[in-house]
Order: sequence, then C-alpha cells, then structure tokens
Amino acid sequence: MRRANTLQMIVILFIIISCADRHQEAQEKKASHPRAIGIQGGEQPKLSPEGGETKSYVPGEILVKFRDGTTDQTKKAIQKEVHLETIRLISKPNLYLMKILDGSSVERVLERLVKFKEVKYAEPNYIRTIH
Amino acid sequence: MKKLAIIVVVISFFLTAPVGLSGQNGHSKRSKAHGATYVPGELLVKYKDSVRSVAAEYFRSRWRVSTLRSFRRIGVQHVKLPRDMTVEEALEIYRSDPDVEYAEPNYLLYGTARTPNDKFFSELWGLHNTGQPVDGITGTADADIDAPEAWDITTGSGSVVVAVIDSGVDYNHPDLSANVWINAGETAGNGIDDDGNGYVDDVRGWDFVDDDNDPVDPFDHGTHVAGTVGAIGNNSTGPDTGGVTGVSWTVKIMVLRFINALNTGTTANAILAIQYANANGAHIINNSWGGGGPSVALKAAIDASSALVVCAAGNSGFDNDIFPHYPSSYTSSNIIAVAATDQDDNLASFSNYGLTSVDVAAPGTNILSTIPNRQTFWSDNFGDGDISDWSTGGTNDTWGITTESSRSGTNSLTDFPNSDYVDGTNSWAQTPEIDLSSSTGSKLTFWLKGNSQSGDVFSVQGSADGTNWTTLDLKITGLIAQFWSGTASFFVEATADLGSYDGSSTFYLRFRFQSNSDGNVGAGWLVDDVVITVADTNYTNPQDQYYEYFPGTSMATPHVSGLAALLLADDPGLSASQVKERILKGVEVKPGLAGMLVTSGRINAYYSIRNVPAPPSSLSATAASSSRINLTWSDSSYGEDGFKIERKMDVGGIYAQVATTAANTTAYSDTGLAQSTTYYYRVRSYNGSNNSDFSAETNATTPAPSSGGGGGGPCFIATAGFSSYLDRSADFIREHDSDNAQQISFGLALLATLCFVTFRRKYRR
Repeated sequence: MRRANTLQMIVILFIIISCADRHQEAQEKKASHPRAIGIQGGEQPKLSPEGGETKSYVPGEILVKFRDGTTDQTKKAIQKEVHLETIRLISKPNLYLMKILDGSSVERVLERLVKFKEVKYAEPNYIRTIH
Repeated sequence: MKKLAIIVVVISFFLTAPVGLSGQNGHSKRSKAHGATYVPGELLVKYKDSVRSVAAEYFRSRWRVSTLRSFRRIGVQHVKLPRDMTVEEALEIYRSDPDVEYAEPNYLLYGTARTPNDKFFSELWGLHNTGQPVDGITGTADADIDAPEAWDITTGSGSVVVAVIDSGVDYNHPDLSANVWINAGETAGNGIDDDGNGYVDDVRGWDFVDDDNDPVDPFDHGTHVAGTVGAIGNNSTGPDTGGVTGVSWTVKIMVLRFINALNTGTTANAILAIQYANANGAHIINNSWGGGGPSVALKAAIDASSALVVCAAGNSGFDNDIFPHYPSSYTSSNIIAVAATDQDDNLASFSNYGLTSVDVAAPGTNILSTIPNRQTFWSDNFGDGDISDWSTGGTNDTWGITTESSRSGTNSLTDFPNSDYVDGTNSWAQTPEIDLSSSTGSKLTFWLKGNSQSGDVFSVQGSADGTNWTTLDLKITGLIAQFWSGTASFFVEATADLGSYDGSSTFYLRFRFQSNSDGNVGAGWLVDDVVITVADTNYTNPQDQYYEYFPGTSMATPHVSGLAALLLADDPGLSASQVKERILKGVEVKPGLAGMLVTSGRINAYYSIRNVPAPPSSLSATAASSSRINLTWSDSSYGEDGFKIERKMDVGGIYAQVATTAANTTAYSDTGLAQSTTYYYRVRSYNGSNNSDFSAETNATTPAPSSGGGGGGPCFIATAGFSSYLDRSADFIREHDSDNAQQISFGLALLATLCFVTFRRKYRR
C-alpha cells in the first residue's frame, strides 16, 4: 500500500507538472512569437501538427445517444439547430456517429447537446490505441 | 524393550494400512515430485479365481501382506507390502506362486504434460517456463500458465470463436490461417449480404477502418495478439515451419480491424466491432487496446454482449483504481482486466494495476508470436537523382532533388533545393501512377527532415484518380495529424495508412508544402526513402522472419483469451461469467502481485480447466510442545472455500485429513499429539467439492516433555497415537465400504489388549 501511495504521488506530481508545461506552451503561442517553434536543445525533433496539440478524439465527430421514443423529427430538429449531420447509426436504438458541420469544437457542441432533454448522452469519438 | 518393538510394529502396521485409501484420489502431484514410476510398498495382484480367498489368506499370514482394496469386478486386489519388503522382492515372490495369475507394481499415471513440436516452443516462456533464457533474458521455472499440463486435458476446439478486435490479422500466415474464422453464412465476392448481417461479403470478419471486407494487418499488433490466442499448435513439418503455438492450438479467430496503421482506432468503430462479434457468434472478445476518455456508449456495447470481454489494463505503470483506463476499468461483469507479468512472476514494469479494477495478470514481456508478411511494393530513395517520372506543380513550384542531406543514398526530395522556401508557396511533388489493384493492407512510410515557420505546413495527399486529393493522416514521432510544421533536426519516420486505396489501379501520392505570407520563412523539408508496403502472401522458408518478440499488457491479454477458449473447448456449456469465475479462481497468487490485482494472481490454465484452486505453498511445521505442532503456509489461491490439512506418522505411511480451516487462513495448530514423534503434513485448498493439488510435504518432531511428569512410558505413546487413529479409523470405515472393516476392528482390539497387558506388567513390578 505504501508503494502504491508513493506511485500515486509521483503520478499526480507528473500530471501537475505536465499540465503546467502545457499551459506555458499555450501562453508562448499566444505571445505570437514568430519563432515560437524552433530548435530547442538541438537533439529532439520538435514537430507539431499545425494548430495545436494532437486530440485524444476525432476532431469534428461526436457520438450522440437520444432517449428512447425520440421521434425522427425531433432528432432532425436538434441536428439542424446544432449543425450536425449523421455519419451512421452505430447501434440500435438511437446511438449515432455525427459530423460537426459548422466548425464548432467538440466541447462546444457537447455543451449545447446536453441541454436537450431528448439527448441521453453525447460524447467525443475518443481515440483508442494498442497496448 | 522387545514389547515396545512389537507395539510399534503393530501400530505402524495398522496406521499405515487402511487409512491410506483416502489419500489415493487422483491428480496428485506428490508422486511426480518423488520421481518414482510406481508407488513404493504396494502391488496390484490377481489371484486365480478358484483359489482367491485361500491365496489371499496365505499371503496375509505368510508374508504379512495386507489388502488395501478389492476390485471385485476384475478380481484384482490392491495390496500393501510389509515395510521390509521391496516391490521387486514382492513381485518375485508373487510371480513364482502358481496361485497368482499376475502381479504388477502400482504404476503412477501422470500427465504426459503435452508439448507441441513447434520450432520456437522453448521461447514461449509464458506457456512453459523452465527458467530458460528468452531473447537473452532468463526467468524463473514455473512462472508460467502451465499450458502443457492444460493441454493434457484439451488443446482447443474449432467451435470456439475468439474475436480479435485490433489492427487486423495476417489471415494468410501459415501458423494462423487454418485457425481464422470463416463466415459460413457468406458467399465470397458475390456483392450480396448473404447472411443479412449488414456487412457485404464479410467472409473473414470486417475492416472497420476502411469499411471493407479485408481486415488484413498492416501494423503487426493484431497478428501478434492472434498468434498468442491461437497460432496453430503442433504443426511443424520440418525445421522451417510451425514456429509458435497459441494457448489454444485449435480455435477460430474472428478478425475485426479498427486500429489503423498509425495506431489509432475510434470508439465508434470499436462499438461496431463489438456488436459484430456478438451478432456473429464470438464467445470471447480480445481487446488489447484502450486509452481515451470514458464512453457510455462503449460500456453499453460491452454490457450488451454475451461474450467474455478480455481487456488489457494498459502500459503506463499506473494504478487504474486512481486513473481509470477504458475499456478495462468499466465495471461490466463480463470484462476481465489483464495486467502483465514478467519471466519471474513479477508485475511487468510498464503494466497498469489496480486492486479493484484489474482482475488477473498474465505473461506479457518478451512474448514471441506471429507478425505479418509484408513486401515492398513501390519505393524511391532518390538515389539516382532522377525524378523525371514524378511530376510537380502549384504556386512557387520549386520542388527538386538535393544533396543537402539524405537518409540513404546521396539525394533527397525537397520543396526548394539549397534554399529557404518563399512566402506564398502552395506546391507539390507527385509520384508516377501506382497500381494497387491487387494490393491489400497498403501502407506508406517515408522519412522527413527540416523546418518550417508557424503557419507554414507540410502535408501528404493521396488520390485514386490524380484529380481528387485527400490529405492523409500522418504519424510522426508518435504525434498524429494532417499538417505538420516545426523542426526535425534529423530524419524522422512518417507513416500513413493507404488501406482505403487498396484495389485502386491508378493511385497517386503527393507531398505538398504551403507557406503563408507573414514574411517568416525556413529551410523547408527534405523527404527520403518513400516506401509503400503491402501484405505479402508468399511465405518463404525458413519462416523465422514471420515471428517477433513484443512486450505489453496487449500480449498478456490474449493469454487470457486463449485460456477462455480452452475452457469453452473443454466445457462448451459454460457461460461467460462461469468462464470468468474459472479463470479468476484458478490463479496462482504471487508475492510480486499481492495487493495490486483483484486476485493478486497470475492465470494458470491447468487449474482453471480442472476447476481447482492453486495449492498452498511454503508449508512449514514447528513443534510448539510435546503434544502440539503449529503449521503455517502461504495462501496461493483466490476465492477458495478453505484449506484441508492432512497428517501421517511415518515416511511410508498414508495421509489422513485431520482438519479443515476457513478461507484465507494460513495457520493451524495440531494438538493432542504424542511426544517424541515425527508427524508429516500436507495441505490443500478447496472450492466446493474440488480440491487443489497438495502443497509440498513438511514434518516436525514433537520433543519429550521438559519435566518428567505425566504418565509417560511406551503405553502413553501408543494410546496417544492411537486415540487420533481411532477417530480416523471410524471416519474411514464410514467413508469406505471396505471389506477391511472387520479386520481393522480386530486390529484395534488386539492393540488395546496388548497395551493393557504391557501397562499392567510394567506397574506390577
């Protein structure tokens, strides 16, 4: 148990430190320094996807689950209002993979969707990787 | 003194003979440890039918041979020899007697511990660990899942289906192909969804990445996982073939691809794959993947599945109780979450763990298994400095060959040779037409070096017609996106999945560079060693190249899935929750895993299939007084009902159960013992009516009382030893409807009389 506690502390510390790092990076970018991304330390390549960090979910996609009994008409109305297009039905009933049409962030669309009582839940299309 | 000797002989005779029967039930590993081929002091004898009782009586009186048991139907008697007679001597006596039809040793029958002939079987330490070096690393003997012992019972069945939801599988691999699931309800290539499952021509599973029926593996991982579940066992036909064996020699692997060549898979596709597996008859789902946020939808898909869902715990070294890892951390009752052990039965350094969130561990370092056969289909390293077959175009098209730097040869491709790029560039270099019409699992790799300023981006695009272009996702040094900028001060590898262009006869690839007009420019980018690889179906001998060592909880997970397949092969009637219970309750608890997993144990195929708990270990006995011995042991089992303690009084004696303790106890105090006597003990755990194998045997000798009080003397020894014997004999008589019962009673009476006479004489003097 003692070992586990130590490990937990290390992990928590690590997370705090890495969060701080990220915060700093973001601030650097905001400062619009023209050479923000350059050689630092020389050895390690500093490649980054343009426009920020890699997402842990598929950009522009969300999974939406409507409550049982939601009519197609209601679904369409909600989709229209939030600017969503169905990519495909994932599982019956009512779980859809949808595409964000207006360029809004996934977070913003999720915030808007949960306000509809017909939406049981909505979540990012998280990326999974091998172990 | 003479009388004492008589008493001892009588006692030992009766103590050893009848009680022993209860210790003879099967699956005991005890005999194996002794290395003997038959039970010492015993024979199986058949007298001639006409003289059976007379002959038996003769041997009893003349040679002091006792009958342990009669097998009436076959007329055979199981006899115990006197202590001073060896089995060899007895055989000589019996075989020379005309009344004896035959006599033979009581041969020990133990498992042949079946091993397959696969070339690399000795590398598969997770299945059978003798401490052998594997890929240069040695381990600890028996830190394995006891696969050979399990294979004595079953080596699997073609009616058990394991869905490997992963990066695809090289289904043509000679060590896998016969074990790949084929959808019997689908006719290949007719363009019709024959079985109406929503997927057209899905003869061997589905590729959810490209949404087609070819789930071949461009990424190695799924093929490796599949090999551990069920590479064909015992299929070597010579030194060149039959490399490894899966946990299950025979099984059907349903191939469901949702992880692409860049190591990304979406939750939506994972859900579709799980639903496919469930709808198409998979009994077990292997999920050697995870990460990302919690998904209600993914958990719901798992909850809705009737399959056992085996999930990797993850490779971050984290406690999943604190930092949940999905899907392994979902509370779904049909999930088994799997951590990884190393060759010494310790938790692998990278493995996640969790006292409440990770169930079991399984071997997960240095795991040798199958990898795909790939071939280079098209490549250009610009070594000849000639790109006349390429075409370039766009605004500020300055693409060309340079000798500034290269990864191989002397040249590389660049957006602007020997110069910084200019503002407002939007240009590309395009490959000649590439025919992928007969290719599957196509994948692009190239190497990239250089730098660009913020807002200026490098990308790669693909096209099936040379007109409509799609920007490809790239993986560079672990990061994945479509557009790249920054600095790579040395060549780094980039990968793109071209699976969606499989079958295209007019495929083109182009490297594109775009810069804004902010006045900031950089050196631009160098591209070298552009290679397109595809799946290869021509496997050349020796086939050693189609195997590789990988570490990971991904590798541990298929050991569990393979065991689940064996369990279902042995008993097809088991439900997913029963299979899970058998796996959890069959683990061997290890100190290196204690407190880190639900079971604190590493799976053991042999125990799970027999439905027995692991035997206790480290049994030790200490005499606490002249009449008491304290026993302690290590509880090596999970979920046992308790422990059974057995005792005997001399080396050649027979064990009898003296006590049962509750679950999780690791000590017992045996009281009422005789002084100056050596007692032998062994302990086993039990679940319901199923007993574990016995622990190793231990012994302790009670000392003489420190002060001379009490009613000592030989008769005390006899009666003390005798009282417990009386109890056991009574039990024995109750349990066994033996024709020895009368004999025992007679023996008891005789002994009591002897004792009484001795006692009286001693105290008369």
